[in-house]
Amino acid sequence: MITEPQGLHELLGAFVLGGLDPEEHHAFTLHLRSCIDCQREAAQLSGLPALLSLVPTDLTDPASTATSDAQVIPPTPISLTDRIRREQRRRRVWIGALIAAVAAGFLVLGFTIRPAVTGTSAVAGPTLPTQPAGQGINVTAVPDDPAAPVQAALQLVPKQWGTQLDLQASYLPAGGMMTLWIIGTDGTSQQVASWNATGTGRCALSAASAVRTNAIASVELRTDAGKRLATARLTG
Amino acid sequence: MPLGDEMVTAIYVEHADMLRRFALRAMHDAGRAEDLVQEVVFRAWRRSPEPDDMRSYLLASARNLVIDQYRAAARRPQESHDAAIPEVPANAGDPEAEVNRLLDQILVEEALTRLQPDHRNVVQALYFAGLSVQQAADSLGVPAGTVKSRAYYAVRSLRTILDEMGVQQ
Repeated sequence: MITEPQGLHELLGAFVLGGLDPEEHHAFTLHLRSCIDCQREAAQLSGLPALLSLVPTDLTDPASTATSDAQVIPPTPISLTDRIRREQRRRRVWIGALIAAVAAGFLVLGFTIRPAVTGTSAVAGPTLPTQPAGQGINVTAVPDDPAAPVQAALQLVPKQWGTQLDLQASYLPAGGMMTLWIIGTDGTSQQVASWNATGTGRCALSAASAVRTNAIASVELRTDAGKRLATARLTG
Repeated sequence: MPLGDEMVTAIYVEHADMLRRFALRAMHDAGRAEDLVQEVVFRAWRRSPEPDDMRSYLLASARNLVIDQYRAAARRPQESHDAAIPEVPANAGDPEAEVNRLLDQILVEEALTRLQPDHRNVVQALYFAGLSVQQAADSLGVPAGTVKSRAYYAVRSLRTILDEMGVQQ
């Protein structure tokens, strides 16, 4: 049975997939010779038979190839979630270390690195408070009592907000409480830390002060009674 | 639940079956196939891509992993009996061509599932079952004219779907 002329275009489907009877096949072939649109479309579809031939016929049942809607959601394998946890942990550690490095001034972003002890306030880069974050200053505290040879090393790290003081000390008194004091260049004093004696005579701590690093004249270790144990003088 | 878990679960639920079908055909070993699926999903999570077609992206990733393993196996010809090496495919002269064939196979199957049921049934009847238009009409319980017009829209739709999935002619 020959299709109506207006239906000739549609024969392209069965022409590509197969199934036209000989008459229709002949009619469409003739039509193709004169119809540019059908020629163009046939060209676009010409690869389909080859692609369809890739599919093994026993797998063409849609139910076997598609995941049915009623399928139970498979659980994500434990090994995969474990792997992701490990990667997340690894990333947190790396990012945490990065943040800590920035906070500690070891990575200076966009600032000029200048030792704060020179007291200069010229800064290249964005407008900022008077001192740039930068490298720390290391000082050693001298014991005030020769009979009590406290060893104390301080690192003063300039921050945007002031100064971070990192203290590591040993041969401290075995008991009681101790304090850390900042003596400013203007003569004023303020306590920045207090801690209890540990059985080992050591301590490692960080203190924070709003005082600018270049406004610090010295740092003192004292007992809570006020007795000076060690003093660190900053140069300048 | 952290964002990472949600994404992985979503990818796994939607794509693991199909990835596994490809992996099984490529690796011929259920254990290695599962490893491959997990590696693909893990890499996708790590890169967090936003492709137009996630499934095609995952399959492309799987394809690359399989080819890497085939090449590694080819470099160790004396160890072909080692269970740790993936079985070299039948078309050992061109492993890449074989993998591409398997991939296209999976993609075409996937494309067929994306066809509307009426279109898919006509493709099944005319192409895979080799029925004539009239036989298909009888089988599907519709007029012959309906079979012809559905066939026309089915092939156009199939071509569009394949194009979207990145399948070349």
